[in-house]
Amino acid sequence: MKKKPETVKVLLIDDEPELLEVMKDLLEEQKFQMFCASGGLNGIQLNEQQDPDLILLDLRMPGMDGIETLRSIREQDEKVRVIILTGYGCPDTIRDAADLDVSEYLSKPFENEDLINVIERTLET
Amino acid sequence: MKDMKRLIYVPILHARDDSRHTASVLGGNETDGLSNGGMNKELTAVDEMWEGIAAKIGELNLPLNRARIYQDGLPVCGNELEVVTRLAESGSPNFLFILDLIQKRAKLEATEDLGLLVREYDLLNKLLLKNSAKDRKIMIAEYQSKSRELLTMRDEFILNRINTTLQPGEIPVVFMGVMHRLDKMLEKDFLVSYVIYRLPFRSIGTIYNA
Repeated sequence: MKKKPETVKVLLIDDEPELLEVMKDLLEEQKFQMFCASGGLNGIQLNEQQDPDLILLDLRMPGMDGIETLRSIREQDEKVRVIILTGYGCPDTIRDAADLDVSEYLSKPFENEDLINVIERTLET
Repeated sequence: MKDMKRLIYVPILHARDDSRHTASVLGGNETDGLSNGGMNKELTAVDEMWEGIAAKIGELNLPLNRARIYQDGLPVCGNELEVVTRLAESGSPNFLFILDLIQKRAKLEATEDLGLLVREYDLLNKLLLKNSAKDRKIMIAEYQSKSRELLTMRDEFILNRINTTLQPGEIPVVFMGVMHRLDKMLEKDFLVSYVIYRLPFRSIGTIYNA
């Protein structure tokens, strides 16, 4: 059965504060419960604390990058759905992401509508 | 400095239907499918992926009369255009898009050795025919290991096809399953531009993507 957005917890991990803010506002308008992390380590901690249904993860971040972050998350949590968001996609990161069981891989820039559509599809699977 | 030629590389996810229909066109058996609900979700995801790819390629404003298309899974058989047309007629968004590019004057090139491709389909069919969950796990591991070896051989064949068929002044546009490592081989001789929009892994699955 399809979950209501207000019961869905979404963790957003991105190092760009402006983007974090814009996406948080957008998804809160859709009634999702939002949690934000500005880096990989913070994201791993929030994943443990909040047990989200879905993670939106930027790939390119200083320090711990998205793939490293996801690898750590997967050691603890096999079930959380993950959508990769990236402006620097290449087949290497796609293969890494596939090995780490991501639901979707979405290239930046994208339209708000695209992101919402991808989130809805991911929550259905 | 060596003058690097430009190459457009589009990582794709193969749909279950493409695998089934290609096997059928090659004279093999069609593999089994999902429930209607699962299949519909997969088809929507595939359609959306191809709409995005088409939009991104459109934005490149490529001179299509100078583009040469290299499509994953298309065997060197002498009937390449017929295979593409039949797959497009069967409704494959991948092959509908390729056919559209051809109609806009892009050239089509076969990429695969038929023998290697048939071995790949045989492996996949063997996997899909197994029913028990335990057997299936073993079969998936066996399939992935054998498929990796085959994939390396297929990539070498495809690389050779690109190097021997590309004409001066042409831009290669390569549509390749995400599990191929052809991009690593191409980066030595080409300036590779990747076109990536969206890859719906969970809706489509990766088992058909060797």
